[in-house]
This record gives sequence, C-alpha cells and structure tokens, in this order.
Amino acid sequence: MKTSAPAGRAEFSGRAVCWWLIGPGLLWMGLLFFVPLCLVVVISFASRGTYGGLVWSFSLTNYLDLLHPLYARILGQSILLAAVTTVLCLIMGFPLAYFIARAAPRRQGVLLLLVMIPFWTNFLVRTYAWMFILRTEGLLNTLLLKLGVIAAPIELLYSNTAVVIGLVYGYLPFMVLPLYVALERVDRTLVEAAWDLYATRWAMLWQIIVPLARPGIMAGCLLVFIPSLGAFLTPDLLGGARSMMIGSLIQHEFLVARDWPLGAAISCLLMLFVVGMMSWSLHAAKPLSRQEDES
Amino acid sequence: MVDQSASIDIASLVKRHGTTLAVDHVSLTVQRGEFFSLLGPSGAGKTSVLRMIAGFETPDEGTIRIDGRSMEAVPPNRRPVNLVFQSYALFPHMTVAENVAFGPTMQGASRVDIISRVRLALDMVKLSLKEARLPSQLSGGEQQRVALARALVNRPSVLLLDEPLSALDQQLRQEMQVELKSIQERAACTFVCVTHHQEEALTMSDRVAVMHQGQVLQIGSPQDVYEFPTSAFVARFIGVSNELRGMIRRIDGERAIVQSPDLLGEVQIILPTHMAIQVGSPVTLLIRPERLRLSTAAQRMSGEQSLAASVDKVLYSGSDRRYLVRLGEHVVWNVRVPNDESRRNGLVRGDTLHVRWQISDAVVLTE
Repeated sequence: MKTSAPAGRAEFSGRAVCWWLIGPGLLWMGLLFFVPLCLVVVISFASRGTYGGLVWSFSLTNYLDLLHPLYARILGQSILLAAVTTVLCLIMGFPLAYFIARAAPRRQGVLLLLVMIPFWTNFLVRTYAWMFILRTEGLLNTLLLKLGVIAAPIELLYSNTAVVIGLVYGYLPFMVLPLYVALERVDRTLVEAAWDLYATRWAMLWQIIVPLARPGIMAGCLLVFIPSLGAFLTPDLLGGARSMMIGSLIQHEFLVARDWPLGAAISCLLMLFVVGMMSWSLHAAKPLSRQEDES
Repeated sequence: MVDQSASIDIASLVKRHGTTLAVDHVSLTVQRGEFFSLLGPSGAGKTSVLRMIAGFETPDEGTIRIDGRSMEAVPPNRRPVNLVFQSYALFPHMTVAENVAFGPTMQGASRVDIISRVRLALDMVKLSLKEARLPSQLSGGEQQRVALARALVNRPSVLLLDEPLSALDQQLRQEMQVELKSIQERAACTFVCVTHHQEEALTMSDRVAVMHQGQVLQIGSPQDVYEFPTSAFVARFIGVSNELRGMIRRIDGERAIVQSPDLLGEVQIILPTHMAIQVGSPVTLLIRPERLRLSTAAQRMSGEQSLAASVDKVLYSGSDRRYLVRLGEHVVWNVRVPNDESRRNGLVRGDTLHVRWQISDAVVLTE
C-alpha cells in the first residue's frame, strides 16, 4: 500500500498534465470544427424560409433537389477538373521531387525551400496575378503576339483551362512534398540492383521506384485532389460563370442565393464523397508491412 | 595479346575521388572459374574496383576486359556480370520468386524458361519452399541466399560479391563460407569477392589480392599470402605476426646473421634468393605465432633458432593458449600453443624460457 500510493499520484498527475497538453487543441478542434460540422449536417435537413432564413422542419427535400441533373453535371465537372489537376501535378511533380530527393543532402533543404516559397505570398494575390497573365490583353497573349506565335489573342481567362492552370499552380507544392519524402526513402542500391539485373531506365522507374513510392504518390494525389475538388476561389476568379465547380456552388448557395439548407446539403454530399474516396485510397496505399500481415 | 582463359583482365585501373587516389594503378587477372577475393581494410579501394567491374563507376584510367571484351562505355545492364550487394538490395515489394525472376524477365526470357530457371536457382540455394515469401519475412541468411539466387539465375560469366557475409552472425558466417564455396563449384562460375575479413578470404578463395590505400600489395593463393607475405602490411593484416627489426651482420652462403638493437642475441636466417641483400642491409623478420615453440632447455637442434624470453601474459582461449613473451625491452611476441594434454600445467607469468623456431619459418623482408 505504501508503495502504490505515490505511484498512483504520479500517474494521476501525469494524466492531468496530459489533459492540459492536449486540451487546447481538442477544445479548438471541437468548438471550431466539430460543432460547426454538426451544424452543417443539421441545417442540411432544414428548409429555406421565404426571406432566406432557416425553417427548422426536418425534410429530405434538399437532398432530393440534388438529384437534379444540373448538380450532377457540376459535380462531374468538378471531379474532372480536380482529376486533370491531380494528373498534371503528378506528371510535373514527380520528376521535380525525384530530382530534389537525389540532390546532395545539403542542397535538398534549399530546393525544398524554393518549392515552398510561393506560400509566402497570399493565395488570393497570386490568383489575381494569374488573371493579369491570362486575360485577353494580358501578359501571355501580348508576349505570344509579339513573338508572332499567334495572330490573334487567345481567350484563356474564364475557361476550364484557366481554372486548371490556377489549380495546378496552387497545389503543385502539395504534390511535391509527399513525393519527395517517399522518393528520398527509396534505397538507391535497389535501383542499382535493378540496373545490374538488366533493367532499362524505364523498367527501373516502373518496376522499382514507382511501386516503392506508392504511399507518397497516393498522399500527394489526395492532397491535391481534395482541395482542388472543393476549391472556390480559383474557379471563381479564373473560371468565371462558365466553369462552375462544386466549391463555388456551395459558396453561391450560402452567400448569394442565401439558401443555407441546400448549400449545407451539397457540402454534406461532397464530404461523403471525399471520405469515401479517402478510405478507398488509404486502403490502396497501405504500407507493405501491413499487407504482409494479412498474407 | 588477350589471355583466352582470363575471365576478368584489369590493366592499370585508376579511380580518383576528389584529390585522393581511391584506386591506384591496379592490374590483375582473374581466371575462369576461379574464386578470387579482394582483401583489405575499409578504404583500401576494393569496393571501388568491384563497382567499376559492375559498371556503376567509371575508371579515370585503365581498362577492364570481361571475357576478352572491353567494358568501356558498357552500362551495368549490358555487362555479363551480376553483383550481390552488401545489403542484399532485395526488392521489398516482390516475393522471393519475383525477385529471382527479375533478371531473366528483364532479359526477355520466355515464361516457361523463367519458371524453370527460377526453380533451379532456388534449388541451388535451398530456398524452394520459401518462394512465395517477401524478403522481410526471411532471416538474414535466407535473404543472403535469395540475393545469390537472384544473381546466379542469370548465369553471369562473373559473379561479384560485396562483403557477402558481413551482415551475418559468426556461426552463420562460417556455415555460409562453406556454402558459398560449394555453390561456386556447382555453378561453375567465376566469383570475385570483396571482403575485409581475412579468415573469410583465406577459407573461400583460390587466390587473394591484398589491397591497401588503393594499391594491390600482393596476389597469390591463401597459402602464399599467409606463409610468404611480401610486405609487413600483408603479414600484419592477414593473421597475427611477430616482427623483429634488425640489420645483416654476416653472410654465410645461403644463411645470414641478423642483429637487432632490441635484442641481446643474434638471429640466424635463410636469405631469400630473390632479394639483393648485403651486409648492413636493414631487414624485418616475420614469424607466425603457431610456428614458435616454447621450451625450458636452451640447446637447439640444427636448423633451429632459439632466443631467451620471459612470460608476460597467458591468454586462455579454449582450443589453444596464447602466451605473450618478452624477448627484449621493446619486443613482445605472440606464441600460440595448442591446448593438448601435455601442456595442461602451462607456464605462468614471470617464467623464463626459450622461444624456438625453424629458421626456414621466418619470413625476411627488406624495407
């Protein structure tokens, strides 16, 4: 008894310290993330009052409204644009990440810093800059005209192309960083072993490097695809009215149409879709060790 | 003229790392079917030589020929050699069978051919029952054998091994030494092995090249390099060696008398025929601990040399006893005596005695 009492107190104080440490974060997440999320779910079952207020009556009308082909088309377009963005980021990010991962250790830090430097400027400001570059009498058209590459200005701004350019620009670092981490861990001697075993460079890439970097590829794709899917700033500024994405639609319902319940319902649908996709890809990207246990 | 029986022919190979010479004009020839070892301490340049044979590093000077064909500008995937990496470098996402099948698949072998070759290779290393496992599910020794099978399945004309046994524990290492040698005989393939472990090199090799600071100091059979080292470095690196520095006092036919400043008495030696030695030449004598005998009697048989000494330390190691005996103020020698029954009541510290050896057992080096 004598010995157990101090031990019990030590454990109690340890637990108290533990709560003090995780408390602030937990409170922050709970109040500002979990509670509002519940509110969104609740609101999605309410209906819109005549003047944009909320009428607290349980109904599934909002979700039934979403069956309208218009919403399916917007969701489809969003998925397409996010997918194209992800693929372009992967194609551009992979060689870049590989280059950084194979650079001299001292240079890797500098190169990673360069990848992250765009974050030092506000995203909105950078997106405005793209408007100046892409618009009809903008930087790009002027340059191409001067060089004689094109005869008449091309309409780039307010198109899906502009949206994809903006999204790729914004989310490329999110692809490069996890890819770098994964590629940096791929043992160089494995690549040498493949080379010694008659592999061509192409085979070394597809048989060794890509399979071993798969968790990083999955993480990078998720980190680009999910925010691209819900993006509203970029499609709003660069896509204009012609390319509506689901993020802009939600923003529109909440702030312009003042139909909170419908906006909430779309949000819930998007969240369900994202959660479903994440759990699928987490399963696909399971580390090797866990797959071994199953076999 | 290209030597037709040579598997590998290396001529004045040079590799610089920055300003240091990692490989300094190395020339050597490996015969077909030979087990050849590059032995040396770390940093001796032996791994560099191996990586240049494999094609991962490009020589700054010199040539490498494999089967008479120059390897200049030939990438690793076009060379008739395969490397067993020190870390094995097994592909963690592939099963044992997939690992072994990798080489033949890349070479475009037919499916039927691949299956039968993988089976043969796994049989050779006795791992047929574990072909569906992942490398991480195997023990260190099994991983080593997968690495061997993955290389041998390609029927390379030379198999390169980089410190093949260094990751294994002592027991397994000794088993694998025997195993490697017998696999080499079964595969009838030239093996070139890099190691810093002298016992490993002596046990397995037909010939050994001892390297130090980028240079090959001596090439010969294990017996040659152990019994007749041509330099003090080789003698010290391979096994334990007792040394005595001195000067030639008299020459008498094929024998000579050496006097050492560290010693009271004089030592009789047999003059090596290939060396030009005159009275006054400085020499170093090397004698292996197991060639020395201890006795209390001073008188010696003809052809023997005897020196007075005292016991400094006795080290018991089971199969034999090691005595550290002092011959002079700065001269302490190792004597190894087998632990047979007659010597059960061994000597103790402080005993005075005589160290005796056959004069033909002392190796004479000129500096």
